[in-house]
Amino acid sequence: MTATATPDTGRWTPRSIAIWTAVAVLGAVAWGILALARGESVNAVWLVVAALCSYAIAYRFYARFIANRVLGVDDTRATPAERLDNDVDFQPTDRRVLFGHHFAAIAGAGPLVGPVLAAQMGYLPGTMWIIFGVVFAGAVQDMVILFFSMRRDGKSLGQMAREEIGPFGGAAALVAVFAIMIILLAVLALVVVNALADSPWGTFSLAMTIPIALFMGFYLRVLRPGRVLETSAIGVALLLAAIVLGGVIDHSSLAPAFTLSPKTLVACLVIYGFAASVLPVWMLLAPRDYLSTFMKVGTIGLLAVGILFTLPVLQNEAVTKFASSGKGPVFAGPLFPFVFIIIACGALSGFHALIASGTTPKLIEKESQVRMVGYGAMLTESFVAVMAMVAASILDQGLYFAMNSPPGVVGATVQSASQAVTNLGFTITPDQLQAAAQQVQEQTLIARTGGAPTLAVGMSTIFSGAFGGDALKAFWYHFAIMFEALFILTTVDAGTRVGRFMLQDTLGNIWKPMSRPSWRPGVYATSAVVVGAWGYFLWVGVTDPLGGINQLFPLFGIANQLLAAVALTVATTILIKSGRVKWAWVTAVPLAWDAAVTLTASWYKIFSGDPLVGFFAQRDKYQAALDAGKVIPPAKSLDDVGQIVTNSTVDGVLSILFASLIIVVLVDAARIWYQTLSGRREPVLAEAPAEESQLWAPSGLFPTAEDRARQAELRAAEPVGARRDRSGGSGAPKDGT
Amino acid sequence: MARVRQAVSGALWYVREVMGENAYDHYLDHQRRDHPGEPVLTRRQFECRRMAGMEIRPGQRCC
Repeated sequence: MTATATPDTGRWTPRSIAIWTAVAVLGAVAWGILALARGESVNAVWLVVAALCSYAIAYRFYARFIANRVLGVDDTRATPAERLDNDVDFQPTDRRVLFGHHFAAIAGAGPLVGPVLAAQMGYLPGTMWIIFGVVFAGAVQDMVILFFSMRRDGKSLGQMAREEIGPFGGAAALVAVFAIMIILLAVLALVVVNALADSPWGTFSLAMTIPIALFMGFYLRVLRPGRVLETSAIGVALLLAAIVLGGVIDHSSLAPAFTLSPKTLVACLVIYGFAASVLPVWMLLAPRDYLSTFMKVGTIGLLAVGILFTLPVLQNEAVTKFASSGKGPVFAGPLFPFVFIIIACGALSGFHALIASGTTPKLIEKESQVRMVGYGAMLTESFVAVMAMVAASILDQGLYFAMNSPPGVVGATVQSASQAVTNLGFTITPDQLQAAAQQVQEQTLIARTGGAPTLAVGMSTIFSGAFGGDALKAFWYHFAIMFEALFILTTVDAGTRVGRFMLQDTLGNIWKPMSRPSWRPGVYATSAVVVGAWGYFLWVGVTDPLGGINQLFPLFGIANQLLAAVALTVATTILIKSGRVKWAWVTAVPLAWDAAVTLTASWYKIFSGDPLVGFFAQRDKYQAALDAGKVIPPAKSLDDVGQIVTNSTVDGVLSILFASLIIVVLVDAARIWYQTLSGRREPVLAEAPAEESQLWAPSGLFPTAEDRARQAELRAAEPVGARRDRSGGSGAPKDGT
Repeated sequence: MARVRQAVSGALWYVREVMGENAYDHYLDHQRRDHPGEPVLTRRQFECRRMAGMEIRPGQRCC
């Protein structure tokens, strides 16, 4: 009984009532200002306040309800980390440290890109989805999957789907995981290509990360084994030097060597991805990961401080006309379902289910900590997405549309872009466009799609407002580009490797040697297949006359939400099978919403008659042109037209594949639900048997007074050195430091 | 002053933990506790083993 006495015992004191009332009122005021302001300027700080107050309330009340009532976390029960502790995969880890690991694993470029694109419909729809989505769907998914995987000794999502739903659902989940990974890697790599194309500064500084990582790897391996901190400090210093040096290169005779076309960049990325997948991890992958973790946390912190310092005013409208017309240039299609597809990471991201059922459940110390680690880390990612929305919304809207419309719409010159922006209903003069590019020392900002350059301009505006002024604008711009590209490449490295292992595993079932990690031909072949798969979509994205991002990003969103549907289906199935039907709505409602969003979006992508939205309508339009030998814009030649036909066919077939996968998983699960509820089948759960826990640790971020008393008691009772508790308690370093 | 020192050392402890700098110390603790008397790996050997583990279990990184 005592072990469940967790931080918030739920007792109300006059003080806690006053605090929570104040939080609720402040949050309501912020939401009111955001929702009701029309035509007057709104300060970005209200977005931040609305988000933080909503998160606080959700974490305090809803997450606690889910943990205690729905999941029934039980701190007297030993977690796999305690039972199976082997100091390798299973290891009780301090909750705050695990939060850091988990956050670093789930958050990448996704929450920074989606909101930037969704800003075309105004800041309000996207922000509402980011906040309500995370509270009721995204963070819930992460927490329940973490919990269920923890109860199953850290089984993966695919394994849980197979055991709890059936072989069909399991196989569909596996295909979904692989498909989303390929699309994800292609889209993220496309963001990098669009950010670096014809930009010697950005290309140089990103290229320098490779020798920097190799040096760090060598240093860690040979000179100072395990000294991660000093190695990372050296790496970050070198990285900043590389950004500064990039500015020098930009003006030197070396600039042409680093001015690469999108197609060349694709070739570089593909070669790089292959190399990173076959080289030993200590050489490239591990040091890059350290570097990227450092930069990620540092930059996100810097952005939060910058926003609070400069208190920028939003230039974007709350809801733009593209929200209702669905004819926006950044991505086509109506607000429902496409805002919910474009913003996946930050609101609801199925990919997280892979991490929540990967390493994290094997490290968690106490069951009740799923709330802080699972729900808490996802709230943090959501906050990153809100900041990205702020960064995109403080830009002049003319500039926003000039940057984010595909080349087919805005053309290549400042004049054509200015004209196109005017046609869209916004204004920016050619001179202003030129000046904006010069300020960040880029040749052009026109049609720099993919979100990264827009975010970088937004961030440089915020940072230069807070630190350094206009003189540093170009530095901050390239800093932001570098930071995004850095952790996108980390995802590409890791993703290619994980994809390679999945493929090796699957092929190993057919031919044994394939699954052996040390068999080089197998390693090379599977790496080439994975790199080739995402490389194909990347190439398509770069060369697509219709613009790669607006074609591929919706597919990425659909794939990600599809994985979320699998995760939420698994969770709902487990709740039903374990006799908790009355709580099944906690995951079933987000599942219903997610299925509605994903299937509606797939419906549009497959059946819409509008060639801007539907892939097959697009195919028919260009096929007809091809048959007639006519070139219709934005295609410039018959080859272009043929290419559009091929691309839209591939994209359309993928949409069909994704939609069918969701339906297969849902139908298979519904069968199990029906059989269980009607009593036709005795529910069999694959949960690991309970064992009593010998470990104690606080469950919340801050230990309560009771926690502290307990901690002191335990410390006094145990001899030094025999302590199993790895938690440092109130933030004090533990023994040995 | 003592509080500042505590905060700094707490932060340092946190960063070292998150980045895995303390992994070797944890390994030594683990050996002492669960396998007393057995020979322990040197730091260099331990870090090589840790990297070899990452080789076959790459950490997933999300979007």
